Amino acid sequence: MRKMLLILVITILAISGTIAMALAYNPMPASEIIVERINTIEKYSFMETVQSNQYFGKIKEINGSKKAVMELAYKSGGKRWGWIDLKAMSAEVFEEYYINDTLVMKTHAKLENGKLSGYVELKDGEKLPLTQVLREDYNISPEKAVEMFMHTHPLAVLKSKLKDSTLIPVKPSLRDKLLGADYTYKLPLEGNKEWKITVRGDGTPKKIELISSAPDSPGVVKAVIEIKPLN
Amino acid sequence: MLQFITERFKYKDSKFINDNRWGVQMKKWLILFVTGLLMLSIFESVAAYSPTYDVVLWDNGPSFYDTRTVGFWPAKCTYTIDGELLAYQTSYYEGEGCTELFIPFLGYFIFTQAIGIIENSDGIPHTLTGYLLQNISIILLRGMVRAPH
Repeated sequence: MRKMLLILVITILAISGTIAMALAYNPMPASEIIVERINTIEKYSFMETVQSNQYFGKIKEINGSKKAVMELAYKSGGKRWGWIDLKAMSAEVFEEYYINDTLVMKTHAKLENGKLSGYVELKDGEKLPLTQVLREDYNISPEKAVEMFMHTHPLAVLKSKLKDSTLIPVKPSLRDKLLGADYTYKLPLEGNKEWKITVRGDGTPKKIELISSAPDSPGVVKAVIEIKPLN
Repeated sequence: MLQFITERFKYKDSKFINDNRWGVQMKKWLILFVTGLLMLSIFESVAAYSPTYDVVLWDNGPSFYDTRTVGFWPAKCTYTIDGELLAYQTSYYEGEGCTELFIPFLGYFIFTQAIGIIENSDGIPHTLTGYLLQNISIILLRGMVRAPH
Protein backbone atom coordinates (compact mmCIF):
# COMPACT_ATOMS: atom_id res chain seq x y z
CA MET A 1 0.00 0.00 0.00
CA ARG A 2 2.76 2.45 0.95
CA LYS A 3 4.74 1.45 -2.11
CA MET A 4 1.77 2.30 -4.32
CA LEU A 5 1.41 5.65 -2.59
CA LEU A 6 5.09 6.37 -3.03
CA ILE A 7 4.97 5.51 -6.73
CA LEU A 8 1.90 7.73 -7.10
CA VAL A 9 3.56 10.66 -5.34
CA ILE A 10 6.74 10.32 -7.37
CA THR A 11 4.69 10.19 -10.58
CA ILE A 12 2.76 13.30 -9.63
CA LEU A 13 5.95 15.12 -8.73
CA ALA A 14 7.57 14.07 -12.00
CA ILE A 15 4.61 15.30 -14.04
CA SER A 16 4.32 18.59 -12.20
CA GLY A 17 8.06 19.00 -12.46
CA THR A 18 7.82 18.64 -16.25
CA ILE A 19 4.95 21.13 -16.41
CA ALA A 20 6.81 23.57 -14.24
CA MET A 21 9.86 23.30 -16.44
CA ALA A 22 7.79 23.76 -19.57
CA LEU A 23 6.16 26.82 -18.04
CA ALA A 24 9.39 28.40 -17.02
CA TYR A 25 11.61 27.42 -19.90
CA ASN A 26 10.99 29.39 -23.10
CA PRO A 27 13.10 27.91 -25.84
CA MET A 28 11.88 30.28 -28.55
CA PRO A 29 14.80 31.35 -30.71
CA ALA A 30 15.68 35.01 -30.54
CA SER A 31 14.14 37.25 -33.19
CA GLU A 32 17.55 38.01 -34.65
CA ILE A 33 18.05 34.34 -35.43
CA ILE A 34 14.74 34.20 -37.24
CA VAL A 35 15.66 37.25 -39.32
CA GLU A 36 18.94 35.59 -40.19
CA ARG A 37 17.09 32.46 -41.28
CA ILE A 38 14.71 34.52 -43.39
CA ASN A 39 17.65 36.19 -45.09
CA THR A 40 19.07 32.82 -46.04
CA ILE A 41 15.93 31.64 -47.81
CA GLU A 42 17.01 31.04 -51.37
CA LYS A 43 13.97 29.41 -52.85
CA TYR A 44 10.31 29.73 -52.00
CA SER A 45 6.82 29.39 -53.36
CA PHE A 46 4.18 32.06 -52.89
CA MET A 47 0.50 32.83 -53.29
CA GLU A 48 -0.82 36.39 -53.35
CA THR A 49 -4.39 37.69 -53.46
CA VAL A 50 -5.27 41.36 -53.68
CA GLN A 51 -8.52 43.28 -53.92
CA SER A 52 -8.40 46.95 -54.70
CA ASN A 53 -10.38 49.90 -56.00
CA GLN A 54 -9.26 51.99 -58.94
CA TYR A 55 -10.09 55.69 -58.73
CA PHE A 56 -9.89 58.23 -61.50
CA GLY A 57 -8.98 61.66 -60.26
CA LYS A 58 -10.12 64.82 -61.99
CA ILE A 59 -10.16 68.45 -61.13
CA LYS A 60 -13.65 69.84 -61.36
CA GLU A 61 -15.03 73.30 -61.07
CA ILE A 62 -17.58 73.42 -58.26
CA ASN A 63 -19.22 76.73 -57.43
CA GLY A 64 -16.43 78.65 -59.01
CA SER A 65 -13.60 76.89 -57.26
CA LYS A 66 -11.55 73.93 -58.33
CA LYS A 67 -11.72 70.73 -56.40
CA ALA A 68 -10.05 67.39 -56.81
CA VAL A 69 -12.67 64.75 -57.30
CA MET A 70 -12.04 61.02 -56.95
CA GLU A 71 -14.41 58.75 -58.78
CA LEU A 72 -14.47 55.02 -58.32
CA ALA A 73 -13.70 53.60 -61.73
CA TYR A 74 -13.74 49.87 -61.05
CA LYS A 75 -12.90 47.19 -58.54
CA SER A 76 -9.75 45.30 -59.40
CA GLY A 77 -8.42 42.02 -58.15
CA GLY A 78 -5.15 40.21 -58.61
CA LYS A 79 -3.91 36.70 -57.95
CA ARG A 80 -0.26 35.90 -58.25
CA TRP A 81 1.43 32.59 -57.48
CA GLY A 82 4.53 30.63 -58.31
CA TRP A 83 8.05 30.06 -57.09
CA ILE A 84 11.30 31.89 -57.13
CA ASP A 85 14.91 30.78 -56.80
CA LEU A 86 16.90 33.81 -55.77
CA LYS A 87 20.29 32.19 -56.16
CA ALA A 88 19.65 30.93 -59.67
CA MET A 89 17.69 34.11 -60.63
CA SER A 90 14.93 31.84 -61.82
CA ALA A 91 11.22 31.95 -61.23
CA GLU A 92 7.87 30.99 -62.59
CA VAL A 93 4.96 33.34 -61.97
CA PHE A 94 1.31 32.84 -62.80
CA GLU A 95 -0.99 35.80 -62.57
CA GLU A 96 -4.65 36.66 -63.04
CA TYR A 97 -6.07 40.18 -63.11
CA TYR A 98 -9.75 40.89 -62.63
CA ILE A 99 -11.83 44.00 -63.24
CA ASN A 100 -15.22 43.97 -61.54
CA ASP A 101 -14.87 40.22 -61.00
CA THR A 102 -14.22 39.49 -64.66
CA LEU A 103 -10.92 37.94 -65.63
CA VAL A 104 -9.32 40.29 -68.14
CA MET A 105 -5.67 39.34 -68.15
CA LYS A 106 -3.61 36.24 -67.47
CA THR A 107 0.16 36.20 -67.26
CA HIS A 108 2.62 33.33 -67.33
CA ALA A 109 6.14 34.53 -66.75
CA LYS A 110 9.33 32.52 -66.69
CA LEU A 111 12.64 33.73 -65.46
CA GLU A 112 15.62 31.54 -66.28
CA ASN A 113 19.02 32.63 -65.04
CA GLY A 114 17.97 36.25 -65.26
CA LYS A 115 16.32 36.00 -68.66
CA LEU A 116 12.64 36.86 -68.82
CA SER A 117 10.11 35.18 -71.07
CA GLY A 118 6.44 34.38 -71.04
CA TYR A 119 3.18 35.72 -72.33
CA VAL A 120 0.14 37.76 -71.43
CA GLU A 121 -3.23 36.38 -72.42
CA LEU A 122 -6.17 38.73 -72.85
CA LYS A 123 -9.87 38.06 -72.36
CA ASP A 124 -10.45 37.42 -76.05
CA GLY A 125 -7.75 34.77 -76.13
CA GLU A 126 -5.08 36.92 -77.74
CA LYS A 127 -1.61 36.01 -76.50
CA LEU A 128 1.18 38.54 -76.46
CA PRO A 129 4.80 38.07 -75.44
CA LEU A 130 5.33 39.45 -71.94
CA THR A 131 8.51 41.29 -72.87
CA GLN A 132 6.70 42.97 -75.75
CA VAL A 133 3.81 44.10 -73.53
CA LEU A 134 6.15 45.46 -70.90
CA ARG A 135 8.15 47.36 -73.44
CA GLU A 136 5.36 48.71 -75.62
CA ASP A 137 2.67 49.41 -73.06
CA TYR A 138 4.74 50.28 -70.03
CA ASN A 139 8.10 51.27 -71.49
CA ILE A 140 9.92 48.74 -69.31
CA SER A 141 12.79 46.80 -70.86
CA PRO A 142 13.17 43.10 -69.96
CA GLU A 143 16.33 43.85 -67.96
CA LYS A 144 14.57 46.59 -66.02
CA ALA A 145 11.61 44.29 -65.39
CA VAL A 146 13.87 41.64 -63.89
CA GLU A 147 15.59 44.24 -61.74
CA MET A 148 12.24 45.54 -60.51
CA PHE A 149 10.98 42.02 -59.85
CA MET A 150 13.98 41.26 -57.65
CA HIS A 151 12.75 44.11 -55.45
CA THR A 152 9.01 43.54 -55.67
CA HIS A 153 8.74 39.79 -55.06
CA PRO A 154 7.01 39.12 -51.73
CA LEU A 155 10.03 38.08 -49.67
CA ALA A 156 12.10 41.05 -50.86
CA VAL A 157 9.61 43.40 -49.29
CA LEU A 158 9.68 41.61 -45.94
CA LYS A 159 13.46 41.49 -45.93
CA SER A 160 13.59 45.20 -46.63
CA LYS A 161 11.17 45.90 -43.80
CA LEU A 162 13.17 43.73 -41.39
CA LYS A 163 16.17 46.01 -41.83
CA ASP A 164 14.60 48.57 -39.54
CA SER A 165 11.96 46.66 -37.60
CA THR A 166 12.01 43.93 -34.99
CA LEU A 167 10.11 40.68 -35.07
CA ILE A 168 7.91 40.21 -32.04
CA PRO A 169 7.82 36.66 -30.69
CA VAL A 170 4.36 35.45 -29.74
CA LYS A 171 4.58 33.63 -26.44
CA PRO A 172 3.29 30.11 -26.85
CA SER A 173 0.59 28.86 -24.53
CA LEU A 174 1.30 26.03 -22.10
CA ARG A 175 -0.59 23.62 -24.31
CA ASP A 176 1.49 24.62 -27.34
CA LYS A 177 4.68 24.20 -25.40
CA LEU A 178 3.74 20.76 -24.19
CA LEU A 179 2.51 19.64 -27.59
CA GLY A 180 5.62 21.01 -29.27
CA ALA A 181 3.75 23.24 -31.70
CA ASP A 182 5.51 25.67 -34.04
CA TYR A 183 6.49 29.12 -32.85
CA THR A 184 5.01 32.33 -34.20
CA TYR A 185 6.56 35.75 -34.69
CA LYS A 186 4.75 38.88 -35.77
CA LEU A 187 5.61 42.14 -37.44
CA PRO A 188 2.73 44.59 -37.23
CA LEU A 189 2.42 47.30 -39.84
CA GLU A 190 0.46 50.53 -40.03
CA GLY A 191 -3.23 50.04 -40.38
CA ASN A 192 -4.86 46.66 -40.07
CA LYS A 193 -2.06 44.54 -41.45
CA GLU A 194 0.79 42.40 -40.21
CA TRP A 195 3.40 39.86 -41.21
CA LYS A 196 3.18 36.52 -39.42
CA ILE A 197 6.08 34.08 -39.45
CA THR A 198 5.70 30.46 -38.37
CA VAL A 199 8.93 28.68 -37.52
CA ARG A 200 9.92 25.21 -36.45
CA GLY A 201 11.61 24.48 -33.15
CA ASP A 202 15.04 25.10 -34.59
CA GLY A 203 14.05 28.47 -36.02
CA THR A 204 13.68 27.57 -39.69
CA PRO A 205 10.75 29.46 -41.21
CA LYS A 206 7.90 27.19 -42.21
CA LYS A 207 5.37 29.71 -43.46
CA ILE A 208 5.30 33.48 -43.89
CA GLU A 209 2.07 35.39 -44.27
CA LEU A 210 1.03 38.98 -44.83
CA ILE A 211 -2.54 39.76 -44.00
CA SER A 212 -4.14 43.10 -44.67
CA SER A 213 -7.84 43.63 -44.38
CA ALA A 214 -8.60 47.29 -44.09
CA PRO A 215 -8.45 49.99 -46.72
CA ASP A 216 -5.86 52.35 -45.37
CA SER A 217 -3.89 52.77 -48.53
CA PRO A 218 -5.14 53.99 -51.88
CA GLY A 219 -7.88 51.66 -52.90
CA VAL A 220 -6.56 48.44 -51.39
CA VAL A 221 -9.33 46.59 -49.67
CA LYS A 222 -7.74 43.27 -48.86
CA ALA A 223 -4.45 41.51 -49.45
CA VAL A 224 -3.15 38.12 -48.41
CA ILE A 225 0.27 36.75 -49.17
CA GLU A 226 1.60 33.33 -48.25
CA ILE A 227 5.24 32.33 -48.61
CA LYS A 228 6.59 28.80 -48.19
CA PRO A 229 10.36 28.40 -48.09
CA LEU A 230 11.65 25.55 -50.22
CA ASN A 231 15.22 25.29 -49.00
CA MET B 1 -8.97 68.09 -47.09
CA LEU B 2 -7.61 69.35 -50.35
CA GLN B 3 -4.00 70.29 -50.12
CA PHE B 4 -2.30 72.25 -52.77
CA ILE B 5 1.32 72.18 -53.49
CA THR B 6 3.66 74.37 -51.58
CA GLU B 7 5.76 76.53 -53.71
CA ARG B 8 9.38 76.75 -53.10
CA PHE B 9 10.09 79.29 -55.73
CA LYS B 10 12.49 82.00 -54.88
CA TYR B 11 12.73 84.44 -57.68
CA LYS B 12 16.07 86.08 -57.27
CA ASP B 13 15.85 87.07 -60.83
CA SER B 14 13.50 90.06 -60.81
CA LYS B 15 12.84 89.77 -64.52
CA PHE B 16 9.85 87.56 -63.88
CA ILE B 17 8.37 89.51 -61.01
CA ASN B 18 8.47 92.81 -62.81
CA ASP B 19 6.93 91.37 -65.89
CA ASN B 20 3.31 90.61 -65.12
CA ARG B 21 2.58 89.45 -68.58
CA TRP B 22 4.27 86.58 -70.28
CA GLY B 23 5.77 87.11 -73.58
CA VAL B 24 8.93 89.02 -73.96
CA GLN B 25 11.15 87.97 -71.07
CA MET B 26 10.30 84.40 -70.09
CA LYS B 27 10.00 82.58 -73.34
CA LYS B 28 11.25 79.21 -72.48
CA TRP B 29 10.00 77.16 -69.60
CA LEU B 30 10.55 73.51 -69.36
CA ILE B 31 8.00 71.86 -67.19
CA LEU B 32 8.71 68.40 -66.11
CA PHE B 33 6.23 66.42 -64.14
CA VAL B 34 7.19 63.15 -62.67
CA THR B 35 4.59 61.13 -60.94
CA GLY B 36 5.82 58.42 -58.67
CA LEU B 37 3.87 55.24 -58.38
CA LEU B 38 5.04 53.29 -55.40
CA MET B 39 4.79 49.59 -55.05
CA LEU B 40 1.49 48.59 -53.52
CA SER B 41 1.26 50.17 -50.10
CA ILE B 42 0.28 47.01 -48.31
CA PHE B 43 3.97 46.44 -48.22
CA GLU B 44 4.53 49.42 -45.93
CA SER B 45 6.93 51.20 -48.16
CA VAL B 46 7.81 54.19 -46.03
CA ALA B 47 11.18 53.13 -44.75
CA ALA B 48 11.80 50.20 -47.01
CA TYR B 49 13.11 50.44 -50.52
CA SER B 50 10.24 50.40 -52.90
CA PRO B 51 10.66 50.41 -56.62
CA THR B 52 8.81 53.22 -58.31
CA TYR B 53 7.28 53.41 -61.69
CA ASP B 54 7.47 56.95 -62.98
CA VAL B 55 5.14 58.58 -65.41
CA VAL B 56 6.85 61.59 -66.88
CA LEU B 57 4.94 64.42 -68.50
CA TRP B 58 6.64 67.47 -69.84
CA ASP B 59 6.34 70.40 -72.14
CA ASN B 60 7.67 73.87 -72.81
CA GLY B 61 5.69 76.77 -71.42
CA PRO B 62 4.19 79.17 -70.80
CA SER B 63 1.24 77.11 -71.93
CA PHE B 64 1.76 73.39 -71.76
CA TYR B 65 0.03 70.15 -72.43
CA ASP B 66 1.05 66.55 -72.26
CA THR B 67 -0.65 63.22 -71.92
CA ARG B 68 0.64 59.73 -71.41
CA THR B 69 -1.21 56.45 -71.47
CA VAL B 70 0.18 53.43 -69.71
CA GLY B 71 -1.05 49.87 -69.89
CA PHE B 72 -3.59 48.44 -72.21
CA TRP B 73 -7.34 48.11 -72.25
CA PRO B 74 -9.17 47.62 -70.01
CA ALA B 75 -6.51 48.35 -67.41
CA LYS B 76 -5.31 51.51 -69.06
CA CYS B 77 -4.32 54.70 -67.26
CA THR B 78 -4.08 58.10 -68.87
CA TYR B 79 -2.28 60.94 -67.16
CA THR B 80 -2.75 64.47 -68.43
CA ILE B 81 -1.50 67.89 -67.62
CA ASP B 82 -2.62 71.00 -69.38
CA GLY B 83 -2.31 74.57 -68.37
CA GLU B 84 -0.77 77.93 -68.45
CA LEU B 85 1.60 79.46 -66.03
CA LEU B 86 0.56 83.08 -65.97
CA ALA B 87 2.05 84.62 -62.94
CA TYR B 88 3.16 83.70 -59.51
CA GLN B 89 -0.24 83.72 -57.85
CA THR B 90 -2.62 82.87 -60.60
CA SER B 91 -2.61 80.05 -62.97
CA TYR B 92 -4.93 77.91 -64.93
CA TYR B 93 -4.76 74.23 -64.31
CA GLU B 94 -6.50 70.92 -64.51
CA GLY B 95 -5.30 67.38 -64.36
CA GLU B 96 -6.30 63.81 -64.57
CA GLY B 97 -4.94 60.44 -63.62
CA CYS B 98 -5.72 57.15 -61.98
CA THR B 99 -4.65 55.89 -58.59
CA GLU B 100 -3.38 52.41 -59.34
CA LEU B 101 -1.55 50.71 -62.14
CA PHE B 102 -1.29 46.96 -62.53
CA ILE B 103 1.76 45.81 -64.42
CA PRO B 104 1.89 42.18 -65.59
CA PHE B 105 4.52 40.16 -63.72
CA LEU B 106 5.38 43.09 -61.47
CA GLY B 107 2.06 43.64 -59.73
CA TYR B 108 0.27 46.67 -58.31
CA PHE B 109 1.67 50.18 -58.23
CA ILE B 110 -0.11 52.95 -56.38
CA PHE B 111 0.11 56.61 -57.29
CA THR B 112 1.50 58.67 -54.46
CA GLN B 113 3.14 61.83 -55.55
CA ALA B 114 3.55 64.31 -58.33
CA ILE B 115 6.64 66.44 -58.63
CA GLY B 116 6.93 69.38 -60.91
CA ILE B 117 10.13 71.01 -61.99
CA ILE B 118 10.17 74.33 -63.74
CA GLU B 119 13.18 75.75 -65.40
CA ASN B 120 13.29 79.31 -66.48
CA SER B 121 15.23 80.55 -69.45
CA ASP B 122 18.30 80.95 -67.31
CA GLY B 123 18.23 77.25 -66.65
CA ILE B 124 17.53 77.63 -62.94
CA PRO B 125 15.31 74.80 -61.78
CA HIS B 126 12.53 75.15 -59.23
CA THR B 127 10.72 72.25 -57.72
CA LEU B 128 7.06 71.90 -56.90
CA THR B 129 5.74 68.94 -55.02
CA GLY B 130 2.25 67.55 -55.16
CA TYR B 131 0.72 66.52 -51.88
CA LEU B 132 -1.44 63.56 -51.15
CA LEU B 133 -5.13 63.91 -50.81
CA GLN B 134 -5.96 61.35 -48.15
CA ASN B 135 -3.42 58.98 -49.58
CA ILE B 136 -4.97 59.25 -52.97
CA SER B 137 -3.37 61.78 -55.13
CA ILE B 138 -3.91 63.05 -58.57
CA ILE B 139 -1.66 65.23 -60.54
CA LEU B 140 -2.30 68.50 -58.85
CA LEU B 141 0.23 71.12 -59.52
CA ARG B 142 0.12 74.80 -59.96
CA GLY B 143 -0.02 75.27 -63.61
CA MET B 144 -1.45 71.84 -64.08
CA VAL B 145 -4.65 71.22 -65.71
CA ARG B 146 -7.54 70.45 -67.89
CA ALA B 147 -9.01 67.06 -68.61
CA PRO B 148 -8.60 66.44 -72.29
CA HIS B 149 -12.27 65.77 -73.04
